Amino acid sequence: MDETGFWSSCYKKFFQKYKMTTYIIRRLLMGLLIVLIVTIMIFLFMRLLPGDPLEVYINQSDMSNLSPDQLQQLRQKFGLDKPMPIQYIHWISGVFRGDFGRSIYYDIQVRRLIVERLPVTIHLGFLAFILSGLLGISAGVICALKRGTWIDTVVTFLANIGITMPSFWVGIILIYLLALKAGWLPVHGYTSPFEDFWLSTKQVIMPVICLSLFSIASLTRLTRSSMLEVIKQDYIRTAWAKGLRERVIIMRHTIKNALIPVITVMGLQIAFIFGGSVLIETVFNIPGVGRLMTQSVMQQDFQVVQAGALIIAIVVVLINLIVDISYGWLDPRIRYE
Amino acid sequence: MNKGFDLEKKPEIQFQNLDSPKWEEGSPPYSEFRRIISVFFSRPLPVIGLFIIILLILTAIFAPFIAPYDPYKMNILKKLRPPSHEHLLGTDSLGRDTLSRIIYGSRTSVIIGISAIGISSLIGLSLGLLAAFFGGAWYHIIMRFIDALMAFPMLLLALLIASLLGVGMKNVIIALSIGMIAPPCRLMCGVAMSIKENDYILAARTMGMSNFRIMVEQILPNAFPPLLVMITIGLGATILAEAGLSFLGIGIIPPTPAWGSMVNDGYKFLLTNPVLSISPGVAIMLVVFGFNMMGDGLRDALDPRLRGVI
Repeated sequence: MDETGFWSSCYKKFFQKYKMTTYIIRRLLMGLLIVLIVTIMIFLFMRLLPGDPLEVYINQSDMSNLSPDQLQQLRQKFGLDKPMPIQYIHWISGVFRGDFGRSIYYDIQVRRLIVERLPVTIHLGFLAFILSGLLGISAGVICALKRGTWIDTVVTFLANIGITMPSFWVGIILIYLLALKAGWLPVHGYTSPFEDFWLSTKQVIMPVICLSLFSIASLTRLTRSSMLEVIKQDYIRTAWAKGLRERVIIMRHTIKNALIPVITVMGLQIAFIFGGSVLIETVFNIPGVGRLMTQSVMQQDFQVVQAGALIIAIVVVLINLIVDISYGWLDPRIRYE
Repeated sequence: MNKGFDLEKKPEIQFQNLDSPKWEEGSPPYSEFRRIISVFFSRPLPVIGLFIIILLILTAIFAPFIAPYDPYKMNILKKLRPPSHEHLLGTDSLGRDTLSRIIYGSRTSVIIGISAIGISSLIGLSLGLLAAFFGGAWYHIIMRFIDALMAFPMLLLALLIASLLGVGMKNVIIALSIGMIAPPCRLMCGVAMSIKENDYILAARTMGMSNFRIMVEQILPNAFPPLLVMITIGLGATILAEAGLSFLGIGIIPPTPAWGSMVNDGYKFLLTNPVLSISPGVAIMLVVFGFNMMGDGLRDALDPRLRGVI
């Protein structure tokens, strides 16, 4: 008996049977690797910052006349006295225990800050993601189906304008028009939807529009060109020729095939929406992760930046994984290898 | 009588370049360059884009001759003036002329945009080329690094690097260059992997060309069309990102005019003088629109199949 052949055939059988599971496990491991690289990068960046993070703490808590001994104690408290690799291992092992370290600026547990701020950004980001998906894809489909008419011209032009507008500037214009002049919406701020749903919705409208504007416009453009590409294909002509109803052709044959590249880009938009939240949360004075990150970067609050980077990277990697898995549902030609 | 078939008359075969909208008598039957030019100029939007970009570059070069006032000259007596004949777009909170500052701001945008996209494409293209050409470990290491860059929002990364390096135009350029490495690298990798399979690469190798020469002389020129499109559109994206950074108050040192920071300055005076905040945004929008439209036009002219890819 050829033993290696036996084992490799066993492995092959196992792989064939659990193709999807092994694919997901492999992708998860790869995602973990990417998250680790991100954290190492951010860790290095933060530690290479010129200046001592402790100085910020000392300046803001008014303890300028500390003895070297007390300074050393503070260093130990924030774990800054050890060499860098040890600091990193210490930090990452803390993360697995749910301990993200202590914020130097706020002097509270980073976990508390994150738990407080993350839901806000996820709330806005989720709404923006859904809105951009719904509006972008449907506008693109309508454009492609009505190609050459005035609807197509107008929507395509609007989409071309939409990808050029800086989101923070749109926010300022919306504030000027809807809040200051018309007085329909509150200028800025954020309320949890569980506290006061109506006020929360009113406050969320403008930030969500700003966050999703770029995504809506680019998804419209992409869906339109992808649809036009698919409509040209032979199988669509075959579908017409065999007398399928128009609705079936559009829904099942055209849109489903046209969405494949669109879904990829939607996955990439997640990182973009997170990036946009940095600007939009500043404009609308929203206490989310984006603003926390901006402030922490400027205050050299390294623990908060590391934790925020880790969480953003995890969210982005997970959503890209979901996108990749959903490919198989849209396009059975794609094999998980 | 044989009605349908006239055997005496030979069918006329006309070679017509279907992609070319204008078929001119006397022009060579097939010239790729002429075809690209004629497709590019046959549509209005790319031409408008090109026009805007030329205008932008001229404005940046000749800013001192165009600007009606000195962009740094303060005049406290004339602060926050609405648009008038004297100051076409009004004045800001320090009495500086907004129009002049927008004109000078084009310099900041052009310098940062071109340098950042230049550096990032240089790094990104080399990495992508290496990953695609050598494959194996090279591919995995470079692509995981790129994945990690993409898993983190570009703006936040640039923010982090800019704050690490401190203020100054040079540091913004470095920050944006690092932040923008991923797209050219991934594009180059994808394109080079498909080009690598061609027979002419095999031929070049058989002839004893070195790896470096194959990469530079064979793969790079053939990957040129998508790269050109990506760089054009990337310029718009870089200018947008730069505006975002300067809006957050990072990078450009205050008296230097930058469009993003002008929007932020005007934000505080939105009720008294909305033009202050809105007009620099229009400038950003126009420029990015110009680059995007030109990129789209180039893409359609060079290779319409790239639609949706870039």
